[in-house]
Amino acid sequence: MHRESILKKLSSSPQGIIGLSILAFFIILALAAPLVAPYDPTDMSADPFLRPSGAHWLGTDDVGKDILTVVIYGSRTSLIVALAVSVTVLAIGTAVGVFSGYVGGNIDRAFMRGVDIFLMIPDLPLILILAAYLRPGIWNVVFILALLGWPVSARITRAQAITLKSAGHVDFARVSGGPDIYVIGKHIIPDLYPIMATTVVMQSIRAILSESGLAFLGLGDPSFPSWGTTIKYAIGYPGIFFTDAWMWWLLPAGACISLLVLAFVLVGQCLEGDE
Amino acid sequence: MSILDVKSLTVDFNGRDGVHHVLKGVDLSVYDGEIVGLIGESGSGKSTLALTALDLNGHDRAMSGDIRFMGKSIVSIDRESMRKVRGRHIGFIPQSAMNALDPLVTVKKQFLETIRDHTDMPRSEALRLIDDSLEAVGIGPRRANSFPYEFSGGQRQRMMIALSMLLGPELIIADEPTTALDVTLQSRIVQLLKDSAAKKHSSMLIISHDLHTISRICDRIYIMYAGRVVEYGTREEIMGRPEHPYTRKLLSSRLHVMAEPARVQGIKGSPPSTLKVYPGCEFYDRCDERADVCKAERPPGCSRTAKVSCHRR
Amino acid sequence: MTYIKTSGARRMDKAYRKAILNRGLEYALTFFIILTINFFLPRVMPGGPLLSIFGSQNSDLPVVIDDATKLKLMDYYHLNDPLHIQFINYLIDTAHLNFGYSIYYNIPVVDIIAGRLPWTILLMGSALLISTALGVYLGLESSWRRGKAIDRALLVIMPVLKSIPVFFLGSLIIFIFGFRLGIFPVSGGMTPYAVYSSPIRMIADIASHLALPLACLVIFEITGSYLLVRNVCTQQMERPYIVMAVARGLKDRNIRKHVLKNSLTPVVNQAAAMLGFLVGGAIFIETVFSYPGMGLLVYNSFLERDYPVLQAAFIVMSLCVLACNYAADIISGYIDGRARQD
Repeated sequence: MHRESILKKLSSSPQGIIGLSILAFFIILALAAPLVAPYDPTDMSADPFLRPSGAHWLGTDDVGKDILTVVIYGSRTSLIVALAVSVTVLAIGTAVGVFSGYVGGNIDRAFMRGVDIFLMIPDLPLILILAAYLRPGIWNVVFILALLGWPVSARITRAQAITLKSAGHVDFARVSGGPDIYVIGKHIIPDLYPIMATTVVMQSIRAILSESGLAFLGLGDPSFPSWGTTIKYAIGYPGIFFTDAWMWWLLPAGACISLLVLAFVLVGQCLEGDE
Repeated sequence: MSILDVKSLTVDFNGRDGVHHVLKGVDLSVYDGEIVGLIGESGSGKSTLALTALDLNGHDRAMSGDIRFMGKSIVSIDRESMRKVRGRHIGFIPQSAMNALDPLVTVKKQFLETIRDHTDMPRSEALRLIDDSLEAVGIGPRRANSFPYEFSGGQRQRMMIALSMLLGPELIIADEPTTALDVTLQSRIVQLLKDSAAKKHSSMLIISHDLHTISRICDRIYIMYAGRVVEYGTREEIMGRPEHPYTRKLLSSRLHVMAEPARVQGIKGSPPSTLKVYPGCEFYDRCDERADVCKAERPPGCSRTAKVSCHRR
Repeated sequence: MTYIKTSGARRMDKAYRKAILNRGLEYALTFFIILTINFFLPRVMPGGPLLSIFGSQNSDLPVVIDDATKLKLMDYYHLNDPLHIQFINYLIDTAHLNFGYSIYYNIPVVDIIAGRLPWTILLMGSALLISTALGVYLGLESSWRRGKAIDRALLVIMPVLKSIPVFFLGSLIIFIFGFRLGIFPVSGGMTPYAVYSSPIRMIADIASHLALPLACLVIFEITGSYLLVRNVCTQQMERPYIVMAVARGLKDRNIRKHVLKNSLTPVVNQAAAMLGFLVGGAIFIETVFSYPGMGLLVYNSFLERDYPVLQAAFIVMSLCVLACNYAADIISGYIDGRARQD
């Protein structure tokens, strides 16, 4: 019941439509990357600093890679991280939140204390410290982001679970002797779809911005071309602003991040019913 | 001289579910020094009339007709002129006094700002005025330094009465002044309204659904139903010789304290929808005296000469 | 049911004080956990605790440690003592602000941090104040003129601003205002080696270096408070006391004062929550603008694997964030208590 209404909501507002379209565009781009990109992402055979031309729509960077290829493959990285982080956060957060809210009592309080403490720790310094100790790698990044992200989801889910627990149909099911798993699975979880959707959107935004940010700082995974890394190299090159190169080297990557995040932001706004 | 003149006021609101026709060509007047009651049930449009007069409900509103205050139209005047009229020349007593003041600011400060935004009165004089006003409604002046939450419901209502009369407005509009109070307080508040109006030489327009309680202090009464005035007259006329079937029902739906058991007749049915446009009389479904013409044709509206809007009269 | 003033206020104070104390304990607990994490990290990470004191053997200038020296060093740093003793020493050290020595700079970490922290506080503090003030102003305007041109425009602009990554925004700002227009300097906190003829000139120099990173941070942060303020104010404007304020004929600016006062609590709460956000943003901004604050320090230390500095910076930043959150709780609790009296 709720899945349909989410789709309907999304397709009825201009924000939802625009957001979904942009999102679809990037997903297709990511999936079809090998087909669409003119070169291989590790191909450094071209001359560096070529201006945009027929052979290289966005020119080449400082080591001779085709920028368009890197940008196209960058969408993969961002979307993979977004998907991985949001699914993980959703799974853990929902499990903990529903369990805690349903069971209640001291277990609930203990869990929520833990969540509160987690929420107060500032993200980035912790990420940097962990990254300093560990190897840079995309799954480490996903792990850290998910680790710091599930408390928020748990909190929201728990609040909703508590409200739902005393809702009519849930109470009835419990009182009629339905086993807890049944009650949770059939009655509480389906009503959580709206919150789950919002969580996925929020975590995706967070993941994409964090991933590109970390890549910008040099914590990217070298085997996954990332928009953040592109920007890092572009800025890092001395004198970038005195040529025109910034236009086709710096801008596209940054614009892509902004557009993809904007897509999620619009979808999120639409789901929450903002005017 | 007429203080307030409402002429053919028609108000529609745009809602998500369609256009709500809330007021349909209403004529109403309040003359100098009199207390007028506007009686109707929920949805009759009575509150809308008050809010429209003060332009408090302009969102998504379409209106036609005229509202004249002291002879001048206040319908399409600019914002600042309207602001100057509000509070200073037309006072307002809201329905819910409980939440009518900012909970974070003392009563005294809120009274002061009302005075300051309208006049250049020096502070000492303003404070004296506030004290006098509060005392007139039975609230000790020392209490002015308290916050709104520190007063009871009845006290807050009296404070709102004091606030509305602070600057001696020519007209006071009271929106359901007794509805939120329990029965024991109602008659006291009603009496306070009359005394305060007399003291300040203000005219008053009282909006209510409670015909019996309000009629005690009214000089004239208008009865509204489904956005129209269906009858009007002096207190004696309405209370003693009601003409419109609705008015008669209103009068009989009260529990009289009598020696013998009395039969209370409620009014069957529910109020008409504001979304529908009725070709005939809106009261048709609930009327005891209805005839075919009532369903098909609109009864002639109230006017100077016609005090009742009904086919059967 | 007349509430007598004294008992009502007294009732509020007691509950308020208790809540504040509880909150304080929670924050203290959180800080303690952060300290504990900090304690265990170097000891559980690959490379062992000596890694975090002397740096990697693979770095550019490794401190060469043979096995014999290693044993002596482990002893010197009490790394062979039982864990709880190490922990207590660690806490005592932290209380004395003894964070060890920087691997890269070879001076006490606390000195480095003391030199950098004021810059970051300057940047982040002003950013928080300005972005909150602007966000509140724009949010109030927007809800006041709901549906009209300015509101619609802002509602479109804000999501777009929210989507731009802060480092990209910084790059663009540097480019337009630093290079192309040349108005502001593009790096540093002050002109290097400058001698100032008067304190005003020094302040002006600092201010001009602050301008671009500050602008960037403000643009980045403003979306948060704007949306919140707009929503809260819109809600407030439908409340009875605002309708009554209009009915009394109050001037616009006084009505807005009322709306603002009642909208403050969530704004204050959010401002504090944003602080955690800002800390992250500061790292990016200071890196892009080469601004000599904690953010750049963290970044450089990360590059150099200067563990003592990293850990100390983490503690200091966390402490700041927690302190600000606590302050926000106190303030908003106070305002809230008044509003929730009935």
